[in-house]
Amino acid sequence: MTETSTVRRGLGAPPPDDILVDVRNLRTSFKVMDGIVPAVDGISFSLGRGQTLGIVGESGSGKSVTALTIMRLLEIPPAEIGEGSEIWFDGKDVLSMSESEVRQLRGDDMAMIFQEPLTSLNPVFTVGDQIAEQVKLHKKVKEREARDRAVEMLRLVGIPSPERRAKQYPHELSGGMRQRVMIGMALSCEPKLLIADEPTTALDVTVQAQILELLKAIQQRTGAALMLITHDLGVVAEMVDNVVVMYAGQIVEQGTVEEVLIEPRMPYTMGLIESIPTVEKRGGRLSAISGVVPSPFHLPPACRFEPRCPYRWETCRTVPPELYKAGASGRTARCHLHLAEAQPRLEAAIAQHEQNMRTGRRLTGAPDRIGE
Amino acid sequence: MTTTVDSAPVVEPTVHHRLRRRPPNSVRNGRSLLMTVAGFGVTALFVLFLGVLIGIKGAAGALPVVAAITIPLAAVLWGVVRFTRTRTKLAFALAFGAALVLSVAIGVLIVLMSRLLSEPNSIFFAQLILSLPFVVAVAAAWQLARGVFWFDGTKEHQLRPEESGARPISAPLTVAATATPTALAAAAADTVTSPAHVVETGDAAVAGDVVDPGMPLLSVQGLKKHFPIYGGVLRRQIGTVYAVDGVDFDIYPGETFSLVGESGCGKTTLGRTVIQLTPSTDGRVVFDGYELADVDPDDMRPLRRRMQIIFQDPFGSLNPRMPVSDIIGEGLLSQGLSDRKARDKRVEDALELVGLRREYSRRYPHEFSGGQRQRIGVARALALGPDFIVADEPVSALDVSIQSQVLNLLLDLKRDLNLTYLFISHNLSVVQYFSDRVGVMYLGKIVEIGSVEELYKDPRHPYTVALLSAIPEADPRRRKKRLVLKGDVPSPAAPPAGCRFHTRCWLRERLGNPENCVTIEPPLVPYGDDPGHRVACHWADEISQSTVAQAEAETPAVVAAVAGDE
Repeated sequence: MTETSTVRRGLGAPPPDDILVDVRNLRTSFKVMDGIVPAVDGISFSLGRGQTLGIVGESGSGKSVTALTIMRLLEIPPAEIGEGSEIWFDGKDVLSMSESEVRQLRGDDMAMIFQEPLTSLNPVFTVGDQIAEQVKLHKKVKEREARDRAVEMLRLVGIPSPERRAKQYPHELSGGMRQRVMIGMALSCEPKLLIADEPTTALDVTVQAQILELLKAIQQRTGAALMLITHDLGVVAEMVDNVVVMYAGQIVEQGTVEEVLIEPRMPYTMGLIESIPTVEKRGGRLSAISGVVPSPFHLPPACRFEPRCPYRWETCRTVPPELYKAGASGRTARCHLHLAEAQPRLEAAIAQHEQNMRTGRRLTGAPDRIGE
Repeated sequence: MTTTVDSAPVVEPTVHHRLRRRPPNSVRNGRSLLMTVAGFGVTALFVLFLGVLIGIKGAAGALPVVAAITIPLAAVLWGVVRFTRTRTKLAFALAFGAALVLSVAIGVLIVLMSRLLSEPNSIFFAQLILSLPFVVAVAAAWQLARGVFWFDGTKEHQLRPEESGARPISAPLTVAATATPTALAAAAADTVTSPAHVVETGDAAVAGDVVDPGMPLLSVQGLKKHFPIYGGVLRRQIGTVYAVDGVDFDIYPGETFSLVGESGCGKTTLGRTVIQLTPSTDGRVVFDGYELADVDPDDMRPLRRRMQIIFQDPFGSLNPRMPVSDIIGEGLLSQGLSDRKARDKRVEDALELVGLRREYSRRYPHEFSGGQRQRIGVARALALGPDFIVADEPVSALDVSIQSQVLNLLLDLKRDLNLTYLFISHNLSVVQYFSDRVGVMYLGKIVEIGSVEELYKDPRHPYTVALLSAIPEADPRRRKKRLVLKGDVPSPAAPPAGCRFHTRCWLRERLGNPENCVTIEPPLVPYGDDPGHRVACHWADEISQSTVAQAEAETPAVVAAVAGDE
């Protein structure tokens, strides 16, 4: 990474003012011993000011790498950002910024909450110190004011007796408390963008409810945009306006949360939603997606979901699908089912999905064979 | 069922002691001490004897005598202890060789000394002092070898399947073998009276009216598991963690009973104590008529074959240095199936049963994905042909799409092998889909228990209500206000007095903090018409749609101000 801040050539026009984050054709890969891992492979999405975007996918689908690339937290090398990738944040191109410019931005205008609060907090400093450090770095304030700000943040995130808690070390706090501290730290400089990477995965369901309510309340209060990365469709349904579904480094479906969760138009999304156990499916089989996520070294040549897809046909093996328009504006799906000639197949798939959602699959046959 | 509640249909399981009773702990400790002392003593005497012999007769002169003693001894040991593993043999040979080498060394030193020193008395004492460290060293080496190598001398234990009711271990493990028409008919007759079976047929109304629930497969009564906390300079006990503190429930053949609760509420400890992986502090666990705490450890082995566990973490629970065949076969080996070929056959049968290929038995855990690893964990539990499986959060560590594969597998196996599950989970959606009856745990106690239909439709404990309210649903049309509990679970080392939930209870707050929540611990009593639905709350009647809705409506304000409270 060079320390120059020259605007790169061939850059597109900056996005309109109401768009806070605009990611265009982002490609991030890692050079490892066995070859190149294309972790994120040409994704584009945008997030408006004050909006909430959910990025959904299984482990290894590239959702965390996307977030880390936006924050410019990846080390280059081994990471490599492909030609033609653009990340616009608040009207500026993040990828052509110098390291010092990014450092100004990070923590101040964009902040991140990580999955494991214990490993992302420093065990040898008190939580108050850790929050104050960030405030001191970004706002020109005195030691005393920074400390007051830290206590105020802890109070904001609902930690009781914040004055005492600020003097405690991370190990003295429970998991939910630590996650609150992380949120408090992320919010301490009033960022315009908050990226939450699986903020509740390590937490119990009751504490998860606390944290989600807190995030909602704080977002309402500060007007920050929230990018929520998760594999839990329940959390997504609860929290976000728009959804991006990722699979093997690509976006496979995007739209509003109602559209994607109620009327999924891509077999992977359908499978994900069907595999959630519900009351209606009791007594039947869950319709599981067969097989496993492909290894990044041996990606299927055309459609990456093809080997696991129940609705595949010859085209899926030969022609890589694009993000086709699927319904209303901004609603896209990466599936050949949306080609005009596949119309009957799409209708059949939708009918099957709706039936699976109603009843689950009846218990029949031998257990699924995997690995074949 | 609890024995304390009169109105509930009490099913007192008949306990029979055909197996040897476990001797009291004092006797067992004394025995083990005696064995250790005797082991050290015999080893030491043997080495000293050889050393002195060599010293007196010279190396060449002692050779016939030493050979005459050691060769038969080695042969006898080799035969008596039927080793099946190379590393066990190695450990044995190593210890034996070390003893011989040291004996020779002692002998040589004694010869040297008798040349250097002339006075008989000083020779004797010098010998004594010199030989002592050697004796200790040999004994220590022996004990070390025993500890380092897995050295339990797997003998062919005479199993009594007719007593324990376990399946014959050499029989192939296939669905067809266990699901013969007669066995299935017997199984059906067995479960036809249990509520689980009724629930399975989907008729929830009947489940509530069952009067005679039949004989439970597993009955837990007043089970407690406390862990001591040691501290201070003298490492004295300064406190107790009440991990499981008086739990009663029954599990009937063929049903899935689930335990839900937050982390730290004792679900996992309960699961492990039920199958005696950790000894219980107090209370009874009766498994098919055997009171487990009373069974002699040697006789536990055939029973253990019938109770297996699937662990939560598919990465931590498989030894990375063992091939799959050893991971799954270890249980078979310790049950006495020492024939490698027969064992491998069983292992491969188990792999096939969980949907993996037979060839995978040669591979190591790192070659598998998370879902496949969890299948290996399931295969390990199945290899012994159990009746009862404790599934401790088997899908929590897996991705959503893989999670449903494993859940399907567990359901298939339950149907094909007529298994009974104790399913431990914090995911209430999975529990609702997967189980017949549910117990909700909070701080080491069950606060509410009932059939899935009843509990999810009509929860009667404020904690259950809060748990259910907290589930995020994957349907944006059903976005709702949630009832958010304050704070975290209190420490199980200092549970609150009275009702353990009163520190976080939203209902108590609404009722104006009634006194008895703090002073009287509510008993687990039947609620409503269904005798199987029991709840431990003084104010269970106060819960209704409107109170819950009001509490939910008030929640966000609470969160924004101060969400946590200690």
